[in-house]
Amino acid sequence: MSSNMIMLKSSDGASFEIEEAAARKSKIIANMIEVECVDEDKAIPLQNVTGNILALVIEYCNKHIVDDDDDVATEEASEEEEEAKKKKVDDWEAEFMNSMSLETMFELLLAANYLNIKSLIDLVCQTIANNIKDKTPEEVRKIFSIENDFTPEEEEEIRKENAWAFG
Amino acid sequence: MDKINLLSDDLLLQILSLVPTKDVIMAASCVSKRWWSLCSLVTRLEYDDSNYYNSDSADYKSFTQFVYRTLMSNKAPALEKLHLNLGPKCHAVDVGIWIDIAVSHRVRELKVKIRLESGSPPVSLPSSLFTCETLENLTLIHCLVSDVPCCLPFLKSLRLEYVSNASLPKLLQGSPNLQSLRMLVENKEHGEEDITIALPRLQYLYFWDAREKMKSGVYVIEAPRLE
Repeated sequence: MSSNMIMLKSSDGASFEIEEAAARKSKIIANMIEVECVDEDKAIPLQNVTGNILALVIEYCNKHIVDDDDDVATEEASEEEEEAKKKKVDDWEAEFMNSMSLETMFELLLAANYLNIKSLIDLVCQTIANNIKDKTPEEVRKIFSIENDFTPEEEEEIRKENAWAFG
Repeated sequence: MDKINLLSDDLLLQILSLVPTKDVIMAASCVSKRWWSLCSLVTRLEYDDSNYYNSDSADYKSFTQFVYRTLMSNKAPALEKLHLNLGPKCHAVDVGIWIDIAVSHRVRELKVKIRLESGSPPVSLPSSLFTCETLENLTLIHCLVSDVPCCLPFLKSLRLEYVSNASLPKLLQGSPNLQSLRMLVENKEHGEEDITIALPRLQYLYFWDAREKMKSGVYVIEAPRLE
């Protein structure tokens, strides 16, 4: 395993040290490493990510780089071990997402999108989607602070069309 | 706390595509005009009528209308997945048209599960399905695969349960890139002849034969890359 360390700098000036292998979870950073524009003594500035969000991104990357290494080491692992390991990751992810507010989730999604970390985008999108599930339109608007820009007539029309789903 | 409005349409659409179809149509499409227009672009559609198998035909009718309207108004350039989980009241004609629409929407993953009343004939699937050039992942449970030409060049994963398998050799031969095959066989009218099928790229095989005391009609699957 590579033990090269990379420095990342958040938009509010906080610096973070991260293993190269973990940083490569971000396609943007991986590309920067490929074209050798990463200087060991210089931090990579991430202008769209604040320190508290970057800390979460790094926590996620560190956790998942360990898992990837495990996969290589125990290629012959039994199905049960595989399942147990998957469950461990799922539990960790559930806990990780549970620990943050909806607002933090959106910021994390924007950061994951900016850094191009596909698995993290998928995880956050799924968690936000779970917050929409089984809700009424009023509840969804309230949770996400969205203004209703339909006229009552328009809304009534859509509701009528969707009669089955409302049943 | 209006961060969700800062998300690009792409990201919001990705989120909406992960919400169950019923909730997308019910809640999400009524939230705002922006959400309403994105809801017609969701790339995953799942319909489940199996909980309504005891209900009257009026319920089935409104379910059918719901599927038709949402499927036909979907404007996604490529449908990632369509799941149909249907009760015994479903009509083969409807199922056929829904699958045709999905095929024309370049569907990549299709799952059809039909919960039949015992004794009723299985629902036959349209031939367009078996020449779908975009299909990668196909699951069929309790359906009839008619004897039609098969060419599924990108099919990677196939799962068949209680599927009438008279045309199985054709289906497998028409899927040269199959990597994963799960099969549950329970066909009493199976012929006498052994069937040999070569699946050069198969890596995963799960085969469960529920037929009793079968002396002939063995499947021989040649799969050199099995892991």
